[in-house]
Parts: sequence; C-alpha cells; structure tokens
Amino acid sequence: MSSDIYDDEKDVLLDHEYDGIRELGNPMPRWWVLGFWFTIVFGLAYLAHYHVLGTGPSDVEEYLAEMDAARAPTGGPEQPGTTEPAAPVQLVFLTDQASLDKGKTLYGGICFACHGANGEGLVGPNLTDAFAVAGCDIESMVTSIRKGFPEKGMPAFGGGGPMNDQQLVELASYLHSLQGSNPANAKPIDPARELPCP
Amino acid sequence: MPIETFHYDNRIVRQFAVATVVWGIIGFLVGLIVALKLLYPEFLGGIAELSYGRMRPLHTNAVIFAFAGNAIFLGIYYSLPRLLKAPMWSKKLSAFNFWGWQAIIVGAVVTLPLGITTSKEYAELEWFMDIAIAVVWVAFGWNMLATIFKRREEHLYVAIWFYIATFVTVAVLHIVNSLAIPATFTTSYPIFAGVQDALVQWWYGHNAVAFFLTTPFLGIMYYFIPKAANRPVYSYKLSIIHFWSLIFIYIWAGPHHLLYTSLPYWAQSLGTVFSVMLIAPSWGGMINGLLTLRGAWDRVRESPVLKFMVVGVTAYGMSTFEGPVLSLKTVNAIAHYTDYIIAHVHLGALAWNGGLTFALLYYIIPRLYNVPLYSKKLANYHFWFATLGILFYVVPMYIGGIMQSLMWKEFTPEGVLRYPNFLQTVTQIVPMYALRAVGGSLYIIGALFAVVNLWKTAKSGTFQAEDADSAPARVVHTTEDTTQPFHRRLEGKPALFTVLTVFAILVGGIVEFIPTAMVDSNVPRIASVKPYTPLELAGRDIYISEGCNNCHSQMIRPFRSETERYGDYSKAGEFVYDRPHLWGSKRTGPDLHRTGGKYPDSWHYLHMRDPNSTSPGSVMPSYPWMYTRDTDFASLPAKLDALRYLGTPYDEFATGDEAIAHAKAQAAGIADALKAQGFADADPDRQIIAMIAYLQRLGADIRRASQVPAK
Repeated sequence: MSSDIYDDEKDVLLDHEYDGIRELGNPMPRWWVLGFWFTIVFGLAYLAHYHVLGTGPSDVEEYLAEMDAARAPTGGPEQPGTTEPAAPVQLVFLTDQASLDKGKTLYGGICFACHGANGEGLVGPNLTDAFAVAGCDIESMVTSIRKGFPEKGMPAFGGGGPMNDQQLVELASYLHSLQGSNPANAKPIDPARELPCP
Repeated sequence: MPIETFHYDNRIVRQFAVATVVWGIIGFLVGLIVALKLLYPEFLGGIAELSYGRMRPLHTNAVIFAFAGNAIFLGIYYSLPRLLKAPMWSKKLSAFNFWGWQAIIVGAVVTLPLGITTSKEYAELEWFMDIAIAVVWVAFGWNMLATIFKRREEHLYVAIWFYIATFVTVAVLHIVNSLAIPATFTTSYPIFAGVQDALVQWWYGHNAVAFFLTTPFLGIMYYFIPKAANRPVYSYKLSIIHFWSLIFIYIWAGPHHLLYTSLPYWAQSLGTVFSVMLIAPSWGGMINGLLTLRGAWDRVRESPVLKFMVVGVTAYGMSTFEGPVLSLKTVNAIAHYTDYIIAHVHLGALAWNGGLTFALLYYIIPRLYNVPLYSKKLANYHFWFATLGILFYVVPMYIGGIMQSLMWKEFTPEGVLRYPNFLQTVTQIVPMYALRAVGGSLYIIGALFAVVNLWKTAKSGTFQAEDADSAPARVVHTTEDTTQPFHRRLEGKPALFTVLTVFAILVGGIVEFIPTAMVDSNVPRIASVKPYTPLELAGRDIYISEGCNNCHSQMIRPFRSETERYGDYSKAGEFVYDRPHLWGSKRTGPDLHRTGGKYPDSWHYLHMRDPNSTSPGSVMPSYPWMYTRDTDFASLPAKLDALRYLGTPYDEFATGDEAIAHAKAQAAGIADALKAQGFADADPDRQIIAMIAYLQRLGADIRRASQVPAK
C-alpha cells in the first residue's frame, strides 16, 4: 500500500519509497528559511553586542548597576553628590507605628527562624519576657543584634548588610514593644544564661 | 533480480510495548506521589526510601528511560526493519537489549530509593549502573547498525537518520558525563569539579532532552505519521536541512541551563544564541509532520493515532519555541528555579513524548494482533483525559512559577524584600500544586483507559509472531552514480553518514568545554577556598544521597533580590572541590549556598527532625532516620583516596585512620555543643551531625577571606 498522492503533487513527487512511504520535493517554506536566517543574524549580533563590541554589560556589570540604582535615594537629589550625610541614628526606642511595622517586617524575614514567629523563642531565647542574655536597654539590644553571639550560634546582623543602623533601631523598638505579650508556646527562661531586665 | 522473502520479528516489538505501558503507569504514579508529597509533606513520611528527594529522581528516570526509553525501542524495532526491508540483525542482541534495559530499570527502582545516586540530573544512577547502561546501549546500536549494513533498501529514510543520531550522541553524552572514580560500591566522584562538572552535566542534561526525547521521536514521527495518514512526507529538502541543523545546533545549547550562574559569561551567551537558532530546525520537524497531513485532516478526526500525533507534534512546536524564549537571559532570570520550568518540561513530556508513544501503541498493537482497535471511543476518551490533564498540569504551574518568582524579587519602597521569609512564597503556590496533582491524575486515568483498550484489542485477536515481507537483494554498486545529489548518495553510505553525524554533534561540546577546563581565567582561584573536612565530606554525601539538590539550589545569581536574601552571589572559584557540583535547578526550598553560619547548629538539629517546628507551613519532609542512622566513617579513607587521585589536596591526612579520627573529633565537638544546649540525644555518630557539619561549611570559605585583612 502506497501513499495517496493528490494531482497537484505529482510534479513534486520523488522516486523515493520506503515501506510505502513516499516523499515530496516541496521547497522549504519561505517564512521558515527567512526565520532561520533571522535567528542566525540575531545570534551573531548578540555575541557581537556582549562579547566583541563590548556594548552589552556582563552579568556582574548588570548586578553592580542594579545595586547602584537601589542605593540611589528615592526621588533622588537634583544634583548628584550634593546630598547631606544622613543624620546619625538616635538610640531611642521608637514608638510610632510606621517604625514598629518596619521592625516587624525585619523580624519576620530574619529573626523568626530562631526566636519564633511571635518572639516566643525556639532555639534562640524568648524575646517577650523580662529576661535577656545581654541587657534590655536600647544600646544593649542594638549591640546584641549588630554583633550577634557567634559562639552561641547567632550571627552578626549589623554593619549595613543585612541591616543598617536605622533598621537596627526599628527592630529593637519592635522587640521592645513585644515585652509582656505572652505568646503561645513561650520558651522557659534559662537562668544560667538570661538575666532579669532591670 | 531474485526476490527474497524474510520475516520481521514481532515478539520483540510486543515485549517493548508491554514494557512501555507497564513502566509508563509506574512512572506516572511515582510522579503523582511526589506531587502529593508537596501538598502533604508527611504522605508516606518517615520512610527514608520513599522520601521526596529519593522519589523525584525515580520519577524522572522512570518516565524518561523506562517509559520513553522502551517506547523508542518499540518504535525503532518496529519501523527500522520495515524501512530497510531486513529483519533485525540478531534476535539474541534484540533480546539482550530488551532484558538488559529492563534489568537496568529494576536496578534504578532499587538503588535510587536506597539513596545510591550521583545527584546529576537524569544521570543519577551510580557508576556500576552506568557501565551496564553503556553496554546495553552499545548492543542496541550494534544491532541497529548491523541491520542497516545488511539492508535491502538502497537509501536510508529520514527516520533512520534520526535513529543513528540518537544512538551515537546518547553514547557520547552518557559516557563523558559518567566519567567518575568509584570510591566505594555506592559512591563515585566525577572527574570534573564545580563549573566544569556543571557544564558537562547540562551538556548531557540538555542533550538527553535532545537526543533521547527528541531525535528518536522525530524518527518515529517520520515513520508513523505518513503510515497512519497514508500521505507522502511534505518536503524531503526540509528533512535534510532540519536534520543536520538540529543535531549540530542542539549540542551547543546546554549552557542555557546555567544562565547567571558561575559559568563563564561567554559560554552562557553561546547557550542563549544557539537556543534561539534552534527554533527553525525544531520547527522544521513540526512543519514536515503537520504538512504531511495536508488534505488528510478528515483522517485525523477519525484516527486516535493521528489525534495523539497531531497534539504531540503541536506541543513539540510550542515547547521548542518556549525553550529558546526561556534561554533569553531576561526571561530566564524570572523563570529559572521555578515551577515554570516544570510546566515546560511536562508539556514536552506529556504531550510530545506521551502523545507519540500512545499513538505508537494504538498503531502497532492492532497490527500485531491483526484486528482493529477494540474501542475507538475509549481511545477518544483517553485523548480528552490526556489533553485536559496536560492543561490542568501545565497552566497552574506556569502561573505558580511566575507568581513565586515575582514574590522572590519584590522589594518594598523602603528597599527591603517584601517576602523575606522564603516560606511566604511557598504557601502562596500550594493551591497550584493541588491543581497540578488533579491534572496529573486525569492524565493517569486516560493512560489506564489505554491499558484496558490495548489489552482488549490483544485479547480479541491472534498474535502474529512474525510478519512476512519480500524484496529484491540490494545491488552493491562498484561505481558511484554521480548524477545523484550529494545527500542522496550519502543516504546510501551508512558508515560515512554515521561519521559525519558524530562530527556534527562533537563540535559544540568541544568548543564550550575545552576553554572552560583549560583556561584558568574562566575559573578564577580563591585562596581561602579549601577542601571539605572528612566529616563535611561525609555530610555532603548524605546530602547527595537524600537528594537535597532536588529542591535546594547552591547557586546564588548576581541579582539584588538574591544577594539580599541569601548573601553574596556565588563565584566560580568556590566550587573547585565540589565533586559533583550541587548547583541544582529548582528552588522548591531556598538556596543553600550561604547557609554556613546563618543558623546555629541547634536550629538545624530541630529543623531536620521536624521542619515545621522551625518553619511552620514548610513543605519539606522530616528526616527522622538521620537521627538513628550512623555516619559511614569507615569509607572515608577510600573517599579521600579517590578525591586525592582527582587532585583534591588532602595532604594533611597521612593515613586513613587520621581522617577518621579527624571526622570523629569534629563530630564530637558538634554533638557536645548541642548537648550543652539541651539536646541530650545528640550523638556524634549519627548522620545528622555530619549533615550539620556540611551545611555550616556551605559558602563560608569566601566569608573567611573577607575577614582576613588585605595585604
């Protein structure tokens, strides 16, 4: 049994036959050929742009540009380079809701992993009771977060990455606001390590 | 010229058909199990052998090598002899091919759940299995080439070009990617490390898709569409151009799996541009398939074989357009590591490979039993269940993948990540995982209809063990007919054809690999990066065994959203002792490259026992057995020897005993500290301790460097 051949195909029918399969000598579709050439030209242009002419950024250059763009102050200065240095961060507990919300966001992204979703403590101590490993005042708290306790397993979080000084204060303020909140599954106080807050 | 009569062997065809169906159903069901595990992490939980990290490779291997693999043999053992007018060269080799392949699959079903794995995607089977695969594959190729050499048909049909390309390329890919030094019976270390290993792996991984899931199925398409539609192939010239361009270009495209990684940038760009150039060669196959049906679309309405073929070929066209788009770096930056890629591969696997395979079965089985298909209606139900199943699988995964990626990248106006807790981005897409499981189930129900239909068909007929055919012997020309075009003459010279194929598929890999391996500037050394300690090495091998890399990448891309979340982006020089690399390709959980020092040991100790205790809502299963099973200290000397042979400087351990003593001391230190923190059951001999040692080392070397003041 051989293939059904239509009348308009008789001219292009080749004398090939394999187990009844016939082949036509139709030309390749023009749009297909042009598309193929287009991708080849695209490929050459792409390589030239990134690797020969040097007009395209490398992956690392892209990254540095992205980081620079993020560092630029929002609504940036009219003339670059004339911004005032940021005012030094005041070490006081903030109480406004906006700051506490920012602190809460920081907590929910980093601290929850060891101190529990509500500060109840997990592998890290409970942060809602009136006991602390290294003081409950703002200076002590900021220092604790900034430097961490590497020997006990808590990394240092200060120094710009992942938190700058303003964020440290916001976080400490949020933690301060959790005092006495009595979350569920609170971790008991470890008298060997934690001291009562004055 | 005397006409010779001969017989085609239908028994081997039936054997491969049965294997295709049986392994297909098993492979689909394992897929459903892993899909359900993402919804219910403790489904079949607490059993190491059935955990997600071990079952997922079983699913991918089963559907690729068992289901599609047997389907390839089914298609080739049926079509090749008929196209050549010659029975298979050796029935013994056919049988060896069949039983050897099934034995390898059974071996995979045993070893992968036992955690015996290389971790390399779609090449997870360990070294002793790799040797078996090579032997069986060569037996298959030998049988095929020998049949070609004693053919009665002068010229090789386009389907056979694809079969030849499949055989030689898979052999090259498999052997090179499996080059490793065995350390023990169940562990080996690849001869390539880090960046080079990743490049070789994805040269292999991508071309497994090309030469295992594409070229053999194109060959199958070129035989079964014209046969089932009774129509001539649309364009012989298109066949030639798209065949050679496809096999030449495909091999270059592997690096598109590694965009924005530590792979040299020029190699990434080659991956991108060759992927874009692949659109036309891929579509050449689709066009030739669909235009062959020109004027025969009424037959498509009538024939389940053609329906599955048409949906399969169309999905092939969609996938092979989507793939190049995903290879553009801006698109890849969003889609990589997400479920979008899972959707992409399932469109190809379920519609193209699955569709063609079921078309094959519906074509061949009635002919083997010399009866019409038992129920066309049931086949139509199968078709609709499969098509709906694919949509229900693919669409939610597309949506979930993009949704999650955008959440990973979103910053608040204040410049902090909107979703700093990775889990927030997971719980959002769990409903999509549920819909995916529904889609998969529909596909499986459809496949079960096929099982019933094919079984009933077989029952209603009588098996024809052999088909008789006749043809004149081939005239061997002593002089060449130079009036024929070059390619036409080439089709009569299988040896030259095979050599040219090998050449075409070698170029891309060589151009990309040699400079990456030989030119130092491609992998800048970092002085502070040191080999893993023996205990960390043991922990790393546990990480590999458990298949952690199936859900966790170790490759932070240079994006602000990633460096904010995970830490500094990954550098090529950090991986020089990583054998194999563990960059991963999917982030079901967060990246782990900078996990070292991020959490205390006590956190990991709690987390691995019950991820929900530290991460409520986590879809990660618990690993209770790591707290009862012992670390394999005894094999450390052999492992260090193997790595030392490959060039890892383990000079400080003069004897194996010193290495073991070092590992035990490090383990005791970790366990003692945990005990002091109230984890009384912390035991230095247990796997969890080695695991913690490894996790705490991850990505830490480069940080140590930044703490040392610059000279």
